[in-house]
Amino acid sequence: MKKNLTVYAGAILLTGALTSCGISLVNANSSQNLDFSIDVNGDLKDAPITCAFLDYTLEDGTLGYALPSGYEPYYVDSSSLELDYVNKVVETKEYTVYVGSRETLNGEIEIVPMDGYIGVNEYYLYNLNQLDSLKAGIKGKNSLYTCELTKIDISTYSLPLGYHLYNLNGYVENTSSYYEKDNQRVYLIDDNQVQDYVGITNDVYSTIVQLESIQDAIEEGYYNEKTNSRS
Amino acid sequence: MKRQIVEVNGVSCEVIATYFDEDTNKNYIIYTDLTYNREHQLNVYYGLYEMKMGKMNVYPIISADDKKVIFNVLKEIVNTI
Repeated sequence: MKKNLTVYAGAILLTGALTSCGISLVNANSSQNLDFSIDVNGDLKDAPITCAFLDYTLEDGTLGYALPSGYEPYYVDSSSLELDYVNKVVETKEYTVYVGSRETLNGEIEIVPMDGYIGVNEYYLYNLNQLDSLKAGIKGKNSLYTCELTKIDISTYSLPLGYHLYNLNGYVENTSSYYEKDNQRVYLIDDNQVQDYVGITNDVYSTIVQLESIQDAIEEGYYNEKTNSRS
Repeated sequence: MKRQIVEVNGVSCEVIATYFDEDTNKNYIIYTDLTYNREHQLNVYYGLYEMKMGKMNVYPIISADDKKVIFNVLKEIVNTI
């Protein structure tokens, strides 16, 4: 057993719970749960990043969309219009019901289906917010983690080692298209397009790659769910 | 195993385990308020704690590193009980 780990008699309660319906793990003093789940076999695993909505009919007949606590609606699919409002209409310790709406041309609020959205674990959402602020910082050429390219010849630019090429349209450029010379990374970039590029530090590069993989997993979860609900 | 009860937000809770991690230098706690969710699953809480003037203050886990620590502690408890 781990040094400094003290197990108390309360652990016996876990035995009983695990052999019946399982346990629900909740982050203390927050509504965040389902970070982990334990099944009836006692296997502990990370909760899924995404979670499909459950239909929830409200008392007035309006169709709401329920998510377990710890999940929040996230807009994924640009083939559906992003909603003007996503409101919580029922909130319990275990789940929250949302209703999506749009403002019509005459200023009325119309309740519409939450097409294009999926539930995302709030732990990952928190990290995705970081991605947005990082990208905004890069766009603003924050000197803490960006640097300008240096022109060394016609359509030839360099970055100091430890920096990666980033396209200001919002993505990390393919890093195989450079060579190293005199502690510099040399890139061939059209002179007319160089204003689209900036260098970003290794740390920021790794964070962006990691967070973009979360974004990919969310999209995958959304499209899998969409396919499953059609079949 | 002895029994340990703590008060969290005015509610008496049964402590399942505590753990001090030397790398993060933080105290972790796992406890239950003996309530059940809609699926009849026992609500088990995890967090960080600090003792201040004999009173335990519990905080949610936010960082990925702390999450990893508590994940491993939970795994160990589940495998040993």
